[in-house]
Order: sequence, then C-alpha cells, then structure tokens
Amino acid sequence: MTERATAGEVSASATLPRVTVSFASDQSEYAPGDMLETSYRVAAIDPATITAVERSVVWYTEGKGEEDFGVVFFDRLLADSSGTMSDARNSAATADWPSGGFGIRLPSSPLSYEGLIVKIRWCVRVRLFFSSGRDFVSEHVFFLGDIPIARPLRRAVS
Amino acid sequence: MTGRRLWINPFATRYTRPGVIAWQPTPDSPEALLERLDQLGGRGLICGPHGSGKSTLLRHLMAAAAGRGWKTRVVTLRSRADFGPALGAIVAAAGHGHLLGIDSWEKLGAAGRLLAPLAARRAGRIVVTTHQPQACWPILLNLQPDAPTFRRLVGRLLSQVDSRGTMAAEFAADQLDAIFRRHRGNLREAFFELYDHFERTTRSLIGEA
Repeated sequence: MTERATAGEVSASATLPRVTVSFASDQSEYAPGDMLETSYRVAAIDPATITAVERSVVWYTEGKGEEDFGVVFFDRLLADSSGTMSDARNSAATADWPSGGFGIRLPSSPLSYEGLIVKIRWCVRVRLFFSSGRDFVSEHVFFLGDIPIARPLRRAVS
Repeated sequence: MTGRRLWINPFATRYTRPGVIAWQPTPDSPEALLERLDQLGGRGLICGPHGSGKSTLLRHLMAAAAGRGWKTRVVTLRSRADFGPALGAIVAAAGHGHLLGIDSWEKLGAAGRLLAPLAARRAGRIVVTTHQPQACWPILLNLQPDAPTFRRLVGRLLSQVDSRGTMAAEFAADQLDAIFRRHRGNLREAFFELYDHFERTTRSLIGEA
C-alpha cells in the first residue's frame, strides 16, 4: 500500500492525524468489475475535533500536462453534537467514528497506467474536516487492471 | 497479478502546479505583500517572465487573503476571447472586502490596455500577473527566480517523495544550476526537464530489476 497524504490547511505545528487504509486485496490490485472492499482507520487525533469525513474513490492523471480526474464513489459523513456520526445510512460504523469502511464495484475503465508522459492512478481518498475549519486529505493508491509499465524505446525506429 | 511498486515523479504537474508548493520563506511573504498591496492603494502587478512563479504567488496571496476573511476570486486568462470574463470579474467584485486576482493579463493583448485603466479605478483590491509592467499600475513584486531558490524547491519536492517511501533521486548542485541556466530561469520548464530525467532513471531501474 502506498500513501500520499497532504497536510492541506493543517499548520506545520499541529499534530497530523494518521490515516491507514486496508484493502481486501493484499496487493491492492483489482480487475475491472471487482468489488473494492476497504476499511480505513484514523489515529493520532481526538475524534471530537472531527466534524466530517469524506470518503471517495477517484482516478486522476499525473504527468507533465493538464490534469484530469473522475469520481466513482463519494459520500460525506457528519458528526453530530456528541461527536458521533449522524449519517443513518452508515450507522453500523458509528461506534468506530471516525474510522470506517465501504465497498463499491469498480468500473471497467480507465485502467491504471504508468506511462512516461502521463499516468492514470486510482486511489481511495479520505478527507477529514476539523472544527477549526482546517482539513486533512489522505490518498491511498490501488491498481485497476494489469497494463505493463511503459518503457522508452531503446533506439529509433528506422 | 503481481505486487507493483508505485513510482511517484515529484516533478509532475500535480506537485508543482501553482499553489501546491509551499511558499519559500522570504521577506516577500504573502502576508507582507497583502500589507504592501494596501499601501499601493489596493492594486498591484506581479511581474516576471514565463515560469517565474507568478501564478504560484497569486494562489498564495489568495490563500492568505481568504485567511483574513476576504472574499477572493481568481480569473485565469487564456486568450483575448477572455476579455468578457475579465471585464465581468472586474465589475462584479468591487467591494473593499474582496481580492480579485487576474492571471496572465498579457493574454488580452491590446484589449488589456483598454481594460487596465478601468480596473485601476475600481474599488476593492486587485492583483494582476503579467510579463511586463503596465501603465497606471504599481508593481507589487517583480519575480526573478535564482538558482539557489530553484535548488531549494527541488529539495523540497524530493523530500516529499522520500516521505512517501518511494524512490529517492539525487541531483548535484552544479547539475541543477546547469538546468536552471539552460531554461533561463523558467522554473516550469526546468521542472519538466527534471520530470523527464526522473522517468528515464526509474525506467532504467525497472529494466534492471
């Protein structure tokens, strides 16, 4: 598992939360149409300071040019005044707030791609919102499909 | 499928685009520039050549302004066809609690010279990025990046990659200085060269594995 976490608006002096994501697939690799079952755990932060958690599954391009992205799953869970989750659809996870999990069926495309100029990446994104107005984003990359890594040509084609 | 390793290129646009890299500590901090902007009457130019960090600074100014509770808006101009959106933004956001940023003013061409006096007379704050000074506009900051700044930025980008547990890359100071000179201070183009270098390096490692 690879994590890409950004502090966003959290100041350098603040204690950063730690978000870990577990995939049902040990290698974080999925075929198109597979079920993505994932759970995430939020640590090193007082849960009472978290007002909302956004969970999403997105793909994005990465490279030298303009970026593109798509969202295949998104929801936002809100804490109520007692510091627990208020979204009734997900009440089973209330006791574990702000940690949780979800599952979705993955689409058939775009497939993960490690190109030279552009890459396509998939990730589970967990975004925490704090009562101070700040936020923290943690991204956890997984792979969809099995496209080989692109290699540069060793010599010019004649 | 077999386990795969993720190679994060720290020079990809995702990590170098305006507003992503933290502002380098200098006397010209965004907060200090907002103070100077008010001293200039609420309007100012950020000048500098291609890739010198104008758009990046504009984003940091906006973030600092938002932190003060100001309403902010950035309009990025792509061509002369954006005259209408630029005019609309200038007319709309005219309150004293607003900061309007217009990026790439030079894209308006001659139309920009017509619009500049109107923009200069409006109430509220406005910051414009452009390559050249404009008549009737005071200069808030003239950006001229230097090689040490470039080296610091590269070091910061590489340290972010290190912290993610992916491949580390090293560049000698004279190598970075040569790249900086080759692109005549255009940080964007220099990052692109480093992007290509990083890709070549990682692919060769994959080939050896």
